[in-house]
Amino acid sequence: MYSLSQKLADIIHHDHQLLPILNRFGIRLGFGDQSANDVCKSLDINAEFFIEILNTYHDPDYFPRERFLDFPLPLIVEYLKKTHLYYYTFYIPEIENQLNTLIASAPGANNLSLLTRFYLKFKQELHEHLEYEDKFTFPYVLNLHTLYLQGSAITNPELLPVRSIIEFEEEHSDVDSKLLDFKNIIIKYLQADYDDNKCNTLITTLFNFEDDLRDHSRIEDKIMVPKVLQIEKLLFPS
Amino acid sequence: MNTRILIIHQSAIVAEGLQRLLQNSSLQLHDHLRMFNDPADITIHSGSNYIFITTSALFQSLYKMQLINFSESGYRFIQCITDPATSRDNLCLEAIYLDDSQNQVIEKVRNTINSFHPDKNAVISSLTDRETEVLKLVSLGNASKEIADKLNISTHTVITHRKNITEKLGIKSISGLTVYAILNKIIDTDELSIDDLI
Ligand SMILES: [Fe+2]
Ligand SMILES: [Fe+2]
Repeated sequence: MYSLSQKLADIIHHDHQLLPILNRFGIRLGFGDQSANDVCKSLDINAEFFIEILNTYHDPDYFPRERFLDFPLPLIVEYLKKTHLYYYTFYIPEIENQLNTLIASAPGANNLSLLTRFYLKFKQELHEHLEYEDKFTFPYVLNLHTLYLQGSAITNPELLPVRSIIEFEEEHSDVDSKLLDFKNIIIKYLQADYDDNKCNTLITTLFNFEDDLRDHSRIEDKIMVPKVLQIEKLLFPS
Repeated sequence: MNTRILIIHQSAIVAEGLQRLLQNSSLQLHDHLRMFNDPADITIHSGSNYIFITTSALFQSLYKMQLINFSESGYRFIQCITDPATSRDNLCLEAIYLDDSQNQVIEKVRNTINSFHPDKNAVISSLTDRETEVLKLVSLGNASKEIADKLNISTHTVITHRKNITEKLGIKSISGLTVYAILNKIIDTDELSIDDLI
């Protein structure tokens, strides 16, 4: 467990997997000996939120639900959006590149092209999920939050096209299980004359992506959705 | 069926220590590991296997009857023995001692988990002929109902087969199963376009 008084550099030395999380908060390397708290201050980042996110990412068993529920929705949504952006710009193209490199390392192994098919299918599903959240779920959540801040119960529910987050946030299990299958097919069932190192690189990336996605979905399912449900109850007394 | 492990021990050092040790093992318990001070706080979820790791004192307590009931429901006990003079209660499959190494503890828990699935340690990966047939039809895009009609079995049976296939292969999605079926020549792709299947 990390604390705000620790040097950010020490934290990264201890767990470098946290680097992308720093970037999502707009932190770049070169922060010298500054504490996590000082770095956050200088960049106007909510330090408490930052450290909780860091700790949950570092330790999959740590998830301070109650504490997270205290943070305002826009802060949470902002982080989720940044995470999506990271998937679009890094993980998705990166996995594709590594897969293509792997396939190129074994010309003539046509069972590898099956993997590409499967990956494209997974990518399409993931894209649809992320895009839907960016286009509909997050704006709905932010709108609702604004209405909530204005403090009055909605007398005219038609103001909002949809009345529950339940209709927006679909299950994460489909995307999750495809990623798991993808890994398992490579690890257990794929036999081809490919370059081992290239395959290891791809698998490592897949494991990292899986961890990241799990953490992301957990924040959506266990923090964002319950918080929104609470507000909906207040705004739409049935 | 998942296995839940409940640690019931009044010593925080023992309980926390055990939890840490098991969580950091390769047993993949995730959030199926919980600690309790008081057995009265336990809620049993149906559909799960339970393993209780308990203090010796519990077997001489008011809770003995409840433990016997649990045991009759098929749940397993591991006794955590901190006083070497104590011996293992008959209800317990295994006993863990304070001076056990990490590996010994994990091995005992693993044995207990495996006792729920006696055949799981045997080679499980090969599908039965029926399962292969079902897998083939799934890969070709048939729903459970259609498979039931084609094989003249109940939909319920098809669903059971599908569950077993997924458990054996470690593949859940239909496209994933299709990839497996093609890789293992369970379906013949010469006549079919792969693009239509996956
Ligand atoms: Fe998301
Ligand atoms: Fe999501």
